[in-house]
Amino acid sequence: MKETLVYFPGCLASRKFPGFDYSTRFILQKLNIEFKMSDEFSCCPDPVWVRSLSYKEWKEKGVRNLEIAKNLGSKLVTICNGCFETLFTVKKTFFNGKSIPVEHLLYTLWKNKKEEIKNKIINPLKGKRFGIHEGCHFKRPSFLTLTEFKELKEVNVLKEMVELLGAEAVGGTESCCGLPNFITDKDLSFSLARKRIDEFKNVDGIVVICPSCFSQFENVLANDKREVPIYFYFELLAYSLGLDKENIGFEFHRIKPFSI
Amino acid sequence: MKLNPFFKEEVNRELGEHKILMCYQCGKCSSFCPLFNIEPEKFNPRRIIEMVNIGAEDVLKLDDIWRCTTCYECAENCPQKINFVELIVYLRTKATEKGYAPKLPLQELESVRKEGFSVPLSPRAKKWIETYMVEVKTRG
Ligand code: SF4
Ligand code: SF4
Repeated sequence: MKETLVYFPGCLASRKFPGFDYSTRFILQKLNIEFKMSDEFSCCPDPVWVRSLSYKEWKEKGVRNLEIAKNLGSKLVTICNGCFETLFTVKKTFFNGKSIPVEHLLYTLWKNKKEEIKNKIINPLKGKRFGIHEGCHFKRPSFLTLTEFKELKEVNVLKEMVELLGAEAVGGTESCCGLPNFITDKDLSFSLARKRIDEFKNVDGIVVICPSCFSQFENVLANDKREVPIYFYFELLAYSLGLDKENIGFEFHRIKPFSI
Repeated sequence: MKLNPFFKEEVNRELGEHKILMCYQCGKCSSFCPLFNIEPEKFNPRRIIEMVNIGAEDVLKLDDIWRCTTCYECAENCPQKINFVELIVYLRTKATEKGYAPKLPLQELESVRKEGFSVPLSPRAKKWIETYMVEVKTRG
């Protein structure tokens, strides 16, 4: 039976950085992946503030999103670490793990589509050197995620997926970008982000897989008047698979991307 | 500092299987915490657990509990498998009930309640979506 993915873009990718959403749909179509979306979905909701302020509402809205997804397809995929954390944790905690499977799309593509992607690359990113930042909720908390995604313990998925596009990938931390406490302690939040960014030397940009990390890094760099382009992985993948530059949504970037 | 032994019991009763009472104050959580490593005087997870475990209910009034980013670095490295994130979520929920939650996170919650989303749809994004997104619409 052909699998139908339920694609959950999340708040930031659909309401602030629509190019992330566009790039993702382009990728799914290029790879002949059947997918469905729904206007019924709400925010995942945010695993930090909604969960912290009203655990009950966080649970109810998360459960509701999973119930909607269950009726649409066989696997829910997100393009945001935060959405992944909420929906995966809700599934594990309140459905005894038995609701629809929840994956970060990066993992889904790495697991099933590497060869196909390789064969379909039109614009390779040869000669580019990217710092990679996986963020904290791609595989954390590990006591939950590693029960389903055992390979994540050994493999650096983002590194492999960036290299697949022909670029060099350096670094690769699963550490925190500092976005959550931006609204409660901006200085501390920015200090943490600067520490992450400064770990990368001589790179053409930093590649992230979470719109929150993207937003945080760009805000810090713009604040500091520094020009290090930040890329959302699916923008680069879509470009490599042939998406026109103007459709990537680079105009929503605060730091101008280099010319790819 | 006023101590309330019931507070410690209540927190431990409410939390999951790895009770924070099992904490032996080794400090590994703090040594791995990215915030503690930048400004130890602003945020120290080991200290927060200590306050809870001696029943210092005033921990709910501290600005500190709103600084944790929930990155799980501490939980990943705790020898007692204590899930500090679960504790911080619990303390924030309690603090919110008592009216101590800071303004901006509350605004986000309100937006989720009213609009269903934590991020507003910007006019610019709306226009872009109307221009470009048409060709790739796939609603179920
Ligand atoms: S690492 Fe664990 S046992 Fe050690 S102080 Fe922190 S919570 Fe307690
Ligand atoms: S979850 Fe909070 S306490 Fe733990 S390491 Fe991250 S910021 Fe520090």
